[in-house]
Amino acid sequence: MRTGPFWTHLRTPIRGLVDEIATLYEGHPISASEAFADFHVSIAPPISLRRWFRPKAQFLADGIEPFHPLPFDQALPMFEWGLNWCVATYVNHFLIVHAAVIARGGRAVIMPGAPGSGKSTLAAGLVNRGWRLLSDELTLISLEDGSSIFGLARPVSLKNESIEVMRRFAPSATLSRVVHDTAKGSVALLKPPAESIAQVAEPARPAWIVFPKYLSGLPALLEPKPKAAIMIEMAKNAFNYSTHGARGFAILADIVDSCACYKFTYAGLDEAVEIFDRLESRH
Amino acid sequence: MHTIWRVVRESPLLWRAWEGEIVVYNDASGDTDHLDPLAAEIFETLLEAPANNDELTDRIAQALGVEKTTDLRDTVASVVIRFHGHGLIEPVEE
Repeated sequence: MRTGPFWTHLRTPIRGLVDEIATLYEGHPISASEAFADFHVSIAPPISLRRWFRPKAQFLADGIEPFHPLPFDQALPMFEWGLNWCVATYVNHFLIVHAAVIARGGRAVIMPGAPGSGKSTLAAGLVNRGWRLLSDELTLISLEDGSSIFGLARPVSLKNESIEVMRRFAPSATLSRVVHDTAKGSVALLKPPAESIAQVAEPARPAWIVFPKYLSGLPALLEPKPKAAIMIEMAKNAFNYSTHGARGFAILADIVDSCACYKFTYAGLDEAVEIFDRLESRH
Repeated sequence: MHTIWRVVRESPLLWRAWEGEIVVYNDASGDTDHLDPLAAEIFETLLEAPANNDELTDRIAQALGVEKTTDLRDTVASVVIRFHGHGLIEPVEE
């Protein structure tokens, strides 16, 4: 299966997982060929006696096990976390920032944020109101031109309360079943809109960097954020910044230079959509 | 006490200034430092010419239009120690 620039070869005997992936990744190119894949992964019960009375699923990438086996019903989120791990660990031909990224009209909003900041929920909301999803977790910046951002258009990982929030906000969106009691609480995956998948090969140019923060009970507020602080945060959130050394610094600094930089607090998605639409229309 | 400091020459540094602040990358250590407006002023002053702490305090007081107080001298000294610790400046061999 191809997601953006990467081919993933998945081997699994878990029929239910295959069905869930087929639903959530519908529209991504599939190849039966085993000739080349960036990531060779498998999800299968580990070989032990426990498989008979407390079944678990084990994720392997090229024979490496980045996580301990998880309960069988967590195979789907495990696949997502495993693919994120593969990109963050093995890919060095992009500068990779831990940030959601969406775009409209070829211009991208990079949204870094700590887990729980609400960046995935915000991205999910915006892509169901006309923005294009590139990724809810991984911003891939081209090392060739230092500015093109490539997308993955993989499912958005929603956690806990944000699952119900998205059900109400985008009732026609496709959501996976809810997987409870994971390390991140309850998790459900939201299928990206078909347009996001269809346009996945089109890079976008960074235009805005927005640090979102969900804050219950307050009106949404978009405020400028100093660029030096943004630069430090971008460097901290880049998985392979140190690998690319001076080139990594120069790329991030050029992006910070060229972008309008903000922090954004929000409590509701409708208000957030209005503010992002205004932001896009005035630049 | 009278050490003269300059921005390091052997390790390549990259920096970018925004709104009076600087972010500097040290390719030798891989570290990235955020310099607030005062630290940025000290860094830029040392880029222009090497200086000891006393001369540096004079120039900073002049640049900022403030009195050369003990507090300012102590602050400059602590920033110099930090810069040296982070490999951004080095003593000039006399």
